Amino acid sequence: MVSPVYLLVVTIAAVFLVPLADRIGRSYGMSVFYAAIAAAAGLGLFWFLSLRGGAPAQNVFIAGFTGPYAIQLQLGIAESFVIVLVNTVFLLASIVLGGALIKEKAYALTLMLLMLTGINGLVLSRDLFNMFVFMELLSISTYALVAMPRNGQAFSAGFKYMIAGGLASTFFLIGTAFVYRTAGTLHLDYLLRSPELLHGGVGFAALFLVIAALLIELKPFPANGWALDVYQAGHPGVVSIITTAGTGAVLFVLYKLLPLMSVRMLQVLGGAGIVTFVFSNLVAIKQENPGRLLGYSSISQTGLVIAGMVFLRLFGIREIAVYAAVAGGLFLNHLFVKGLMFWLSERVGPRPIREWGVLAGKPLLLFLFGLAVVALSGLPPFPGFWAKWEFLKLLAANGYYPVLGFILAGSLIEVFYLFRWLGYAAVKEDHDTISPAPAVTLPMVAAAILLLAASVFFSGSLSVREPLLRLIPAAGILFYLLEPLPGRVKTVLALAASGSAAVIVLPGLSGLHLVFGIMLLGGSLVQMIAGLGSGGRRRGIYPGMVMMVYSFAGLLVTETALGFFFAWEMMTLASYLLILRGSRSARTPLLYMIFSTGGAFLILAGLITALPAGSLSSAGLGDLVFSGGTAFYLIIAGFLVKAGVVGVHLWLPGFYSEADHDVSPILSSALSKAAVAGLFIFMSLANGTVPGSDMFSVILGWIGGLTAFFGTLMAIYQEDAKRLLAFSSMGQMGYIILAASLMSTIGWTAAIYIAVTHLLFKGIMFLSVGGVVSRLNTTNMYEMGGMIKRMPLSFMTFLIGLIALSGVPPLTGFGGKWLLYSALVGKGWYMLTALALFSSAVAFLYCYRIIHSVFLGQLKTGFRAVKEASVWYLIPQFIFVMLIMIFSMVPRLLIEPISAAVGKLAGPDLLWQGNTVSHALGYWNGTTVMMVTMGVFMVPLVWLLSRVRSIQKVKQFNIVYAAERPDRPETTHYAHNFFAHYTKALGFLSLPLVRRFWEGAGEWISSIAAALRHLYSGNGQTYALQVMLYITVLYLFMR
Amino acid sequence: MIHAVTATGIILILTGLWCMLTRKHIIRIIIGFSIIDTGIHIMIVSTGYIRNRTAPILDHAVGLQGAADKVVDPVPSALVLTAIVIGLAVTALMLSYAVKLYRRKRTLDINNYAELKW
Repeated sequence: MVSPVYLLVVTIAAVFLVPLADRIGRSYGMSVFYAAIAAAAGLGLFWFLSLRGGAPAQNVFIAGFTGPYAIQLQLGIAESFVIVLVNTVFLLASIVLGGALIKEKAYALTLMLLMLTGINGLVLSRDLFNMFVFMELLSISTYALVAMPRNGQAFSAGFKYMIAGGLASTFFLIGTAFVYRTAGTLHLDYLLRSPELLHGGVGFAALFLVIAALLIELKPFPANGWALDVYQAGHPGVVSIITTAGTGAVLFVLYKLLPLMSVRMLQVLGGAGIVTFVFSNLVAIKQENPGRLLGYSSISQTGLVIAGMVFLRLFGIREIAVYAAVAGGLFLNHLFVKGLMFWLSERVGPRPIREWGVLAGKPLLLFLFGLAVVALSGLPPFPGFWAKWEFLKLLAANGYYPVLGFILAGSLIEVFYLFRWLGYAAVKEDHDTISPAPAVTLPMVAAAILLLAASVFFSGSLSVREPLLRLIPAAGILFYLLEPLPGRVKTVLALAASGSAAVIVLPGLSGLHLVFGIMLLGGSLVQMIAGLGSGGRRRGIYPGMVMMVYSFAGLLVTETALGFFFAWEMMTLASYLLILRGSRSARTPLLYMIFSTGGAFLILAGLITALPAGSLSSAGLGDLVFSGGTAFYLIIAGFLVKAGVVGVHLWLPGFYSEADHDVSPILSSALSKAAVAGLFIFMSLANGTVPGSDMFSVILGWIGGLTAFFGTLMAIYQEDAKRLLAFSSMGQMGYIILAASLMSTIGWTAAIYIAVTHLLFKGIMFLSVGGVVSRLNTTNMYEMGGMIKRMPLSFMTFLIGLIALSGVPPLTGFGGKWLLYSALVGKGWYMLTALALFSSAVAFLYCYRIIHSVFLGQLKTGFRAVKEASVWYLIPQFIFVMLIMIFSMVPRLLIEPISAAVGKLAGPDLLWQGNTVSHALGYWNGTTVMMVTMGVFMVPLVWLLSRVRSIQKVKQFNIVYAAERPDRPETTHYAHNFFAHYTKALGFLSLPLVRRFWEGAGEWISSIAAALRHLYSGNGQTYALQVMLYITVLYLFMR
Repeated sequence: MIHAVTATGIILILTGLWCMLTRKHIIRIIIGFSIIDTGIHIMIVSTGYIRNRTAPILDHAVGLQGAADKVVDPVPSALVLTAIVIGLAVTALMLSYAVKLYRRKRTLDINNYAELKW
């Protein structure tokens, strides 16, 4: 193997060679420069591969001495891992900087090379003083390079950086001197042999100063104002090196020193990391400048990496593989993502984040940015996801629950500001554009590819062995690459991809999993047909759609906790992409992402708490321990957020209604069932093992009942047809949860029965309205009317969906209600029965409103020529109508498999006699009911048909305004504010209290962030004082 | 007991720190930094001092034979040489920053350079 000395030799030699070559010509100087960096990166890769292949670690003693007198360089697997990463990203950043460097004199190149020498030396060195020298090499070259933009901001930022950096070096040097005085050596390996030398008074102070100095270099909150100025003012290329390679080297020094630290020191250091993570993210939410925002984010990520390695050490973990999985994964994620994002900010130029809409017209750049945001948020399949899972799992296993909570809270804030930014970037607002710059784009693409490769590597080294799960992101990327194809071709391909997933997955499922598999996969497949009805490219739909369907499959197939969470997060991400494309405002996707991530974090917290002690990553779902209760309740709470129960439903109306007209049906009918599937999977896993389940089921029941009530109530006041249906879905989810809470055979059968019928009728209604809306180009019901004449088929299917929804005989809805009320009364929950009944009655109001406003009444002049909805919208509706008819005629076909899947729970079973189902409270024969109802329906129908000649048609202008002059045109329409009179009675219940609550909470967080960031006064001297105070406080804590 | 030289070093460090944190003039801040540096150097040299021994220079006065018992610990002295060089580089760079800043705004009051904040 090549000696590690050559890593330093290469760059130092280049420092002398570059100016010479530059004399010959600019390109020669640049060539030597790039060749040296590429050689360093190549060496790193070579070492990493050979050390992974089992080659022994190398120790080199320079100048003929042995330790402790010589400079010792150590190259083990950990060193080579960091070396290959930081040199690679350094190379990419140098390519980005190429355009700027070529304008500078040759010494800019030598400064870059010195910087790299410092970074590599820090990683390899085993001696405190050598570390000091390399750190100064890194710092001084960085101080100089920060000034590269040569404007006032860069100069003042550079000077502030020097003051703070100078103080840090001072402390490091004093600490080093006293370490030598106390221990008689500065050599790490000798110090590690007798760490007790540094546990006395002076020794402790010495070690403390060294660690404090390193921490200051890592920019802890709040002593980091100087660093933020540098991130904002420096050239993005230089800054990307500081925050990735430079920070990485210092982090690695800290890693090397970990074994010297006492428990108390580790605890405080870990705490400092967590504080930095949470508060830097918090302050970031008020930031508009991309460089500074990325600075806050970089600092927070550094804090998380610090916390990662410090807590592992605190838990007594010694295996390098675990450090690589947690700290290494977090760092690698940060490294490539932050590089990518800083370089992208170089491409976008000096625009505040609100103006990043320029990316919307650039699919590749937008994709790269989206990838970076997703990876940085810790979502799968990126390394950050695996690393966070491992880290949080270890925290939970060691009882560090508050730390776990803080990390999740910080991550949620991070998701908020990152996805808000992505929202700005995805919505094209101006015609401003950015010029192409391949020198910047290529490194970004390279970073993205490396990140994806690392994702495969990390997912392989951990536990997701289920190949289907790997296909979820792969399918997304494949369909992204297929984007240039016409929309209809993509629809067919998506149908084929999803269909084959269903064919492969469904036969392997059984019980509840099979029922939900048919619902989620079958339901999505049928409704995807509607996509054929729209022409054009339809960019941005199918990557998300296919990923979502594959996630459904993954959720049901996986047998591990990690696999489940992976699929769940992929599903969230996929559905986010769908709503991001369709939504009119940036608010809806963001709200959805925040609430979904919040819910996912609850599930995550529950899952890792329930993992059996000492489990591997591959712990099965069946091994989860719910006897503590908390874990189970956290998981259920997470699913309830995803289901959109009252109180956390803020995201729901927009999400279900604002996507494309062929996507909304799938989101509202199928995706909503994923939460139900999760609820049932975990309730059956935990059945009987959770303490306090009686109380739990009462609370769950009321949550369900109130959701049914408020969802229904809010639906009646909507003007927008799709929003009305969205709220109606919320109400139906309430019934499902209410039925599920009963924990009895009939209750669960009812819940799943309602879920199936809701899937069918909501699919029909959304598709039908979608078909209407796609012809009329408005979703306001008062602008529609009379569509029965133009779209009779859509009307027919809609009417059937409506009857099924309302729960009147003879259609399937009645069966659901019958089962639900029977189960509720059987359990003795009379109040909830009354609430559910009342909600059903209220539901008639919105049913009436929507059919009346959209299909009945006057046909508008402008819409006299509209055609029937596309046949591709009608086909899935008719498939669902047929299913509803079959299940209405022969309910046994549906109920029996469901109750078989539910299995034996508390309470009486359902008994069958022919087509009659019965239980303790009564019986129901679906076939007879159907026939009787049909008969009753026929009599007035025949009578009405016989009198069809004497009907007097109401004309458009038969209405008078009783001398009132309307102030707005739509107020003259009977369908506008249709239920105004009910607001007197019930309006107080539909006040936007929940929205006000969440907005208030958001306002508070935002105000705290605004107050906190005033710490960063901009004055270099204040920053120096903050550094001093920080060190003092740190000392008091660590003492 | 703290050696008098060590004490001098510490006093210089604290003086420099006070200067850095209270003076508003950028040149004075740099001078403060320089004083800290000097203090550290003195302190490091003092850590290697052993009473009644001479400088670690192997000339004819010390002789090669038994030199280890006649000279003070040479390591800190060697370290200080490196530290002085680094300190020089940092100070020079700070001063060049000061020049650049002055050319922009014609002022060296650090309070005038707070345009980047929050």
